[in-house]
Amino acid sequence: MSSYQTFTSARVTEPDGPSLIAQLRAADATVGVQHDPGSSTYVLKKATAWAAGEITAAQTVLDAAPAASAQLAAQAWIDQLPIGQKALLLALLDQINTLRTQPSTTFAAVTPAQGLAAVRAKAGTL
Amino acid sequence: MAIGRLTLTDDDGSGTTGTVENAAFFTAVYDAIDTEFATKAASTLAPAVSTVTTTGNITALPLPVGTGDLVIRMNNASLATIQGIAAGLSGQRLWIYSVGAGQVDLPPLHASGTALGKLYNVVTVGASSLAPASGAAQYIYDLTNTRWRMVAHEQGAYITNAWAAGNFTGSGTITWTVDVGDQIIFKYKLFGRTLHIILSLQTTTVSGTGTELRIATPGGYTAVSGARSLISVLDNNVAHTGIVDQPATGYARVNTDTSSATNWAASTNQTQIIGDYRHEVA
Repeated sequence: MSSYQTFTSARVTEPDGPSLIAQLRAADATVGVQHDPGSSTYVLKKATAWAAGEITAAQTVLDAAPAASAQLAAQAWIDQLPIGQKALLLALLDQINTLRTQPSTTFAAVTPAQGLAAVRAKAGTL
Repeated sequence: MAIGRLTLTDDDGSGTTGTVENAAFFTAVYDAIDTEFATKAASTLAPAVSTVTTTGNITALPLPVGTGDLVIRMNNASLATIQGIAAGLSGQRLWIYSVGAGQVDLPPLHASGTALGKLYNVVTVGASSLAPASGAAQYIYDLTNTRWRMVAHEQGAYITNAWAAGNFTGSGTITWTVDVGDQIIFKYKLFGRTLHIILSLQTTTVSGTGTELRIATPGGYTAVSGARSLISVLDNNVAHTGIVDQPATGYARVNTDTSSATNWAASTNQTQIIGDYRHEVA
């Protein structure tokens, strides 16, 4: 039976969502957060009833979780990079690694078609 | 307002003697005109008004007594469903206002409504509703077909779609669990034949594999043409811009991204959909 608990935080910044969830889930892996940006109210849901100690711990996390920032948002985006962009990056990395392991070898230029084919093939593996 | 009175001046200037008309005659004429105007104002120019407090199903809503425009103030404390209205005069206009705490539903051509006054609405499936204390509708009586034809409808406030677990399903093997406390907002408003839906579903749970989360059309309406809108999603706590796609029939389909090909991630209390969409209804 899911249980909901309403919290109010006096913090003046929006918490970073992934960081907040990670910290809350360290205590209970079923916790989810209902929150409208700009609101001081947070409703936390989890699979079992809330104990007093859990409420106190969750309040501490809500108040202290790192504030949302461009840097944290970018890291969260990188963690969930779309397949196409990940393929582009990893195909380039393949080429770089080839050069790193054979620094004295002269390679023929990669044509645009070959480059795109390599990225496409990489996407198929992700 | 009484018409202006002209004082007659007779031959001798006294206003009381003369050879043709006298003041008494004209006074009688003026009084007759005033009486006629007063009668018209009461019977024709002002609508006949009645207040109804009945709740539940109403198969033949009684009309206020009058030969001109009619107004019914629905002061029902809980849901009232008007399945039919008593017959009117040809071309007679009827306004229905919601002034009570209960919603008023106006289902189209309801089988239980009186044959002398079924409701012929803009939408043909699902009731046109009047939100409590804010909705209004206008009908004209069609004597040829013995129907009340809707010519205007303002729902008033958005109406909340009551939570039901069965409103939320998924494609493939998905089981989408939306608990009652997860439905933060799910409300709708009808504009002509356009249904606008506002949605906020948070801390929902997804298991199984599939690309679509599915949402039943609220209000008992039937979608008849496709529409697609962007919508904000959290897919196992990963933010995306998804799409909500309402096909010509059935439920709205929500995809986690704009490719429509990505499976929803399994999540426990970490799937969220927030946004709005609209589509045509029958």
